[in-house]
Amino acid sequence: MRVTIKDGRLVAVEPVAAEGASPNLATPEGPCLKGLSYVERQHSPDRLLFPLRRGSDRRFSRTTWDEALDEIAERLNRVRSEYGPQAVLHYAGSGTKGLLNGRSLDFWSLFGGCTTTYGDLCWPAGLEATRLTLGENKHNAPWDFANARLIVMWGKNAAETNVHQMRFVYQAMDAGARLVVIDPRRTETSERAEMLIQPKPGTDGFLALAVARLLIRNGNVDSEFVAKHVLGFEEFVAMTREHTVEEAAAVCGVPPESIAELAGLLGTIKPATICAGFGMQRYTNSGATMRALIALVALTGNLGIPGGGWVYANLQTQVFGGVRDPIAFFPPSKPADNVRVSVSTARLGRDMMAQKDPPLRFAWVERGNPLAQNPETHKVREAFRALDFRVVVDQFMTDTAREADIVLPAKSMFEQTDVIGAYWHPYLQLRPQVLPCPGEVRPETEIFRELARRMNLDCSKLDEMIPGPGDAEIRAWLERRLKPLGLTLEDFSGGPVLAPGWEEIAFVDRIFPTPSGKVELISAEAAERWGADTLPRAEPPLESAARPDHDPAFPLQLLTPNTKNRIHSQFGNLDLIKLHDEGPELQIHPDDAAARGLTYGDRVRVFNSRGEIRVPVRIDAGIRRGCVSVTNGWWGEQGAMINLLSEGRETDVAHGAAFHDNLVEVERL
Amino acid sequence: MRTRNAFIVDLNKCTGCHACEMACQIANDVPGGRRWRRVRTFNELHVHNVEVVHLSMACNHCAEAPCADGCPSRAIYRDDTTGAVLIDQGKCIGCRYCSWVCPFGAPRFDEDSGVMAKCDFCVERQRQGGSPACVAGCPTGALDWGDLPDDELTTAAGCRSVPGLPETAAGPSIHIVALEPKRLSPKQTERRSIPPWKTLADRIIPDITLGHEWPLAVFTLLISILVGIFLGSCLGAPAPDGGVFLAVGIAGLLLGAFHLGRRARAWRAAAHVRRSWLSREIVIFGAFLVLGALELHYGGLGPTDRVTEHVDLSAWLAMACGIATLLSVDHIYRIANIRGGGIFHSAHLLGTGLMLAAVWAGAVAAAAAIAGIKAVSYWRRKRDRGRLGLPVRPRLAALRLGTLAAAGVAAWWGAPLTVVFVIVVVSELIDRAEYYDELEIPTPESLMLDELKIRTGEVHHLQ
Repeated sequence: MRVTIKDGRLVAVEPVAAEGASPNLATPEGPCLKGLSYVERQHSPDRLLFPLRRGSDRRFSRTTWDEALDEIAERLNRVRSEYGPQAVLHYAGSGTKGLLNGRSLDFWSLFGGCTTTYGDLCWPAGLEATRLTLGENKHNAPWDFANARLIVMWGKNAAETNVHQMRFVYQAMDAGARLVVIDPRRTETSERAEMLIQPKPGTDGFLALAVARLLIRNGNVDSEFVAKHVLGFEEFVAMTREHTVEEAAAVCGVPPESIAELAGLLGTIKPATICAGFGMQRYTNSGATMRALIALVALTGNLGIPGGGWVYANLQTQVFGGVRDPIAFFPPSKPADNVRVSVSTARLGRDMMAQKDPPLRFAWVERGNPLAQNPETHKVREAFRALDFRVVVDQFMTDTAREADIVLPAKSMFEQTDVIGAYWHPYLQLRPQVLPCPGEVRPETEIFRELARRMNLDCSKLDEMIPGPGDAEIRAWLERRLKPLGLTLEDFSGGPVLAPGWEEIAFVDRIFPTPSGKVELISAEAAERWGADTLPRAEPPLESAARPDHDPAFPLQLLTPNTKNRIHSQFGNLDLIKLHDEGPELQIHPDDAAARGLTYGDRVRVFNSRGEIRVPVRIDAGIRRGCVSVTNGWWGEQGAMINLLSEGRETDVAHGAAFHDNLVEVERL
Repeated sequence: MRTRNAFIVDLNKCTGCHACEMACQIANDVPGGRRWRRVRTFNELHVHNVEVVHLSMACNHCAEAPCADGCPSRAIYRDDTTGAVLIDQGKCIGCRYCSWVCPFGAPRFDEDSGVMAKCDFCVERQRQGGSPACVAGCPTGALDWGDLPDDELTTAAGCRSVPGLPETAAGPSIHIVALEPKRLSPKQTERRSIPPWKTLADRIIPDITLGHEWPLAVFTLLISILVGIFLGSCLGAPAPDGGVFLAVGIAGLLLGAFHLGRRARAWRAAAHVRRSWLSREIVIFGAFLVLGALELHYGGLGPTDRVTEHVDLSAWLAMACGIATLLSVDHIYRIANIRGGGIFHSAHLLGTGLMLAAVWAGAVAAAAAIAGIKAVSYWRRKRDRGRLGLPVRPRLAALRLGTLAAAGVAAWWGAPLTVVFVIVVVSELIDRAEYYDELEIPTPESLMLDELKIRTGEVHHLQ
C-alpha cells in the first residue's frame, strides 16, 4: 500500500503498482475496504489517546502515564512476590503484525516469566494438516492462480476474505478455466462458478474421500506421481472403500451425481488447484478433513506444477523466527525457563480459571480482543473478572478493554517503523513510520521499556531485545534482524521485496519435508503428536447436525464466517464501514424462516444451552437449509457477541478453536 | 468516430465489495454517509437460477443529460475538457427535479447544504492526470474509465438488458460488459425456494413521498382551483376580486417554494425556460396570475371589456396561460410512474382544472361528465393496484368517490355553487394526496425488484 499524508493526516491509501523496480504482482489494483478505511481509523475520534483508569464506579477516566505505569509496576511486583511471575497471563492476538510486535515476551522473560497461551484461533488445523501431509505450508505465487485450468474453492469465499485473489480467478476463467465452489452458503465467490456444492457443514471430509474413491475407480490417479512421491497410497485406497459414494452423499446432504461431477472435473482437468478456506477447519474433525482434501491434489499429481496445487497458507515470508507456524502455536516440548504455556486459546476462559500453582491474578492483553473473538465469551469474561488486575493495550475501547482496570493507548501501524510478512503473497515489506503517535500514545516497545525501568529489571540486555524510541534506533534494530537474510532496509526503498528463498511454484523440486520425504497420506506423526488416526478417516464433528445423535432441541448449524467489511472484531466501529454493514444479522433460509414464522427484519433470539444473542433476520435463499449464519467479530455494543454461543473446544489437531461445532435454535422475539 | 470519456463496468469481475463507493467517499470527502457512487445488487436474496449482479454506478455524464435539461435553475452544465456533467451548487435551488428525471438515480439531495450533489467524474483528479477515485479503488479491475468511441458505449437497448437499468435515450457515457452466459449463476445442489417478496419491496425507499412533497401537492391543486375559477368566471360565473386572486396565487408560489432546499434562491426556478418544463410552469403560471388579476380588476370579464369595449383579448390570453399551466404541470410529472390506471390518470391537473371551471360556471352536465371520467379512471387505478398487491386504501377511496358523488347530488338539489365547489375540491385533494403518495420514479432498485419478480414468475407483467 502507498499512503498519502497531507497536513499531518492520512488522506489516501492506494496500491503499489505492478510496474517498476519492485513491482507488486499480488495486489496491484485497489485496496480492500479495510485498507481504504484506514483514513478514518487512523484519525478516529474514538481512538484512545491517553491512558485510562477505571474507577470504583466502573467508569473510565483519563490518567497520566506516570500514574498508570507506577500502578502497573506496583501491581506486577506485588503479584510476583505473592504468587510468582507465572500468576501473570500474557495474552497477545494478531491485531498488528511485525517484527517489533513480537517483542513483548522478551519483557516478560526479563520480568521473570509469565503464563501464556498455546494454539490459535485462526487456522492451525489446516496448517497442521498441510504440514503433516506436505511437510511445509507454502503454495504457488498468488498470480500463478491464473494458470489453473480447474479451480476448486473449497470452503473459501475469496471475494470477501481475499478479494485480490479473485482477480486471478477471473484471469484463469478468461483463459478457459472452470470454477467450482464448495460452501454451505451461496457466496460472492460462487456467483461466477459453474457449480456450487453445498454440503452439510463439517462433512467435507466425507465429500473429499468420496471424490477420491471415484478418482481411483475411474483410473484418474496420477500413478507416476503417486508411486514416486506419495506415502500410504494402498492404505488410503482401502480406507476410501469404507463408505460408498451414496453413503457419503447422504452424510453430506448432496446428490451423488454432483460428487461424480466434481470427481470427473478433478480427474480430467489439469492443472487443478484446490484453494481451501479457514472456516472449514474450525470443527472438531478439521485436521482429518483438511488432510483428505490435500489427498485429492496428491492423487491427481497437481503438486509442484504451475496452475496446480493446494492453496491454503503461504508462510514463505516467515523467515525471521526459529519455527514456522503451526509449530509456533504448540506448547514447546522443552518449555522456556520461566514461561508457562498452559492456557489453550480455544478454552481461554475455563483454562484461565483452572490454572493452579500459581493461579492467575493479573492479565496483560495486547493486539487482541478475546471477549469478542475467543469461544465461550461468558467464561472468558468470568475468568477476566476473577483476576485482581487487568491491563489492556488497544487503539479502541473494545469489549475486552471495557473489562480492564487500566487501558493503555496503542500505536497504529503508521506510527512505528516495522518489517512485515504475509500469509498469502511472498513479499516482505517495510512499513515505515509516516505519522507521529497522536495524543499521548506510545508504542508498545516504549511501554515495556518504561515498565522495565520502573521495576528495576535487568536492563543491560534491554536495548538489544527492545529498541529505543527513535526511528533510527528502530531501523538499526531491524537492520540487525535483516542482516542474516542478506537484506538491508535499503532494499525496501522501492517497494515490496520477495522473501529470500521463496518459490514461485511451491514444491517444484518435489521435495516434501515430511519424515518420509513424500506426501504422507498416512502419517505416523498424526497419531504420535495428536492421537489422531494415521489416515484422514472421515467423522462428523462432535456438535453437528450431521450426527444422528445430535440434540434435537438445537437443529440449526451456526456458521460464523468472516466478512469483507471487517477483520474479525476490527474496523466495525468505523463510520465508513458501518455504512456497508450496520450491524449483525442472522442469515436464514426462507424455508427455515417460514417454519419459525419469521420474515425479513424480524428480531430473533439465537440460542443454545450456552447463551443467546438477539439479532434481526435476513432471509437468504442461498444458504443451505438447516444452516444459519452470523458474521463474527461484532462487539457487544454493536449488537452481538457471537461467541456467547460457541463452546471452548479444540480442533482434532493443532489446538485450533472449533467455533463451528455449534448448534442453535432460533425463535422470534 | 467521436469518442467520449466514459466509465467501464465489467459485470463479470465485480464482486460487490463496495470499495469503489468508499474510495469515492474518501477522495471527494462526501459527508454524512451519502454516496455518489452506489453498488446495487440484483438478486441479493440468492434466488436459484437467477444471477447475482452487482451494478456499480455513479453519474453517467449522459450526452443528452436529462438532469441538465430538466433543471429549472440552469445549475447543471458540462465540463468541456472531461465531458463531465457538473452541478453548480451556487445556482442549485434544491428542487430535486434532477433526481426525478435521472434514470440512474445519480443526483442526491444534500441535507446539509440544501442543494443537489453527485459524482463529478473526479474532474480535478482527471485534470491532474489521475483516474477517478472509484476506478483507482477497485481491487478486481471491474471498474475502469477511458475515452471510448461512441459505438462502444452501451446502447439504450443494452441498458435495458442489465437489471436495474431502464431503456433510456439519455446517452449515458458508460460501457457495461455484460455477464458471459456461462457465468450467470452456479448450478446448485440445494433445492430451489422462492423467498417472500413483500418485506423486500418495503425496504425500497421511494424518492417521492407525500410527507416531503405535500407543499407541491397543495400548490398544484391551488393552481387548478385558480385556473378553474378564472375559466368559470370567464364563462359568466361570479368573478373573484383580482387582489385576492393574486394573493392566493402568490401564496401558492411561496408554498411551492417551501419544499426547496434553498428557498432564498427560489427566483432561479424560472431561469431555464428554454428547456426546463419546471421553469416554463413557473413562468406561465406567473403570466396567468398577472394577466388574470389585471383582467379581474380592470377588465369586465366576459365577451366585451368595459374599458376598451373590444372582444377581450386579454381574457383569452389569461385563459390560455391558465390551461397551459395545467398542461405544463402534467408534463412535469410525465417522468413519474404510477402503477395502475393506464395512461390517463384521475389526478391529471387538466381534468381537475376543467372540472372545477365547469362547476364554478354551473355547467353541471360538463362537470358531471369530467367527474365521471375521473371516477372511472380512479376506480381502475385502485383495481390494478389491488391486483399488483399494492395498498388500495378502501376507506379513502370510498371517501374520494363518495365526495365526488355527493357534489353531484348537492348540485342536483340546487345547493349553492360554492358548497358544491368546496366538496369537489376536497375530493380532488384526496386524489392529489394519494397521487403524490403513489408516484414512483423508477429507480435502479425498483427496476431490479421488478425484474426479479418477473424472472421468478412471481409477476408476468408489471406496468
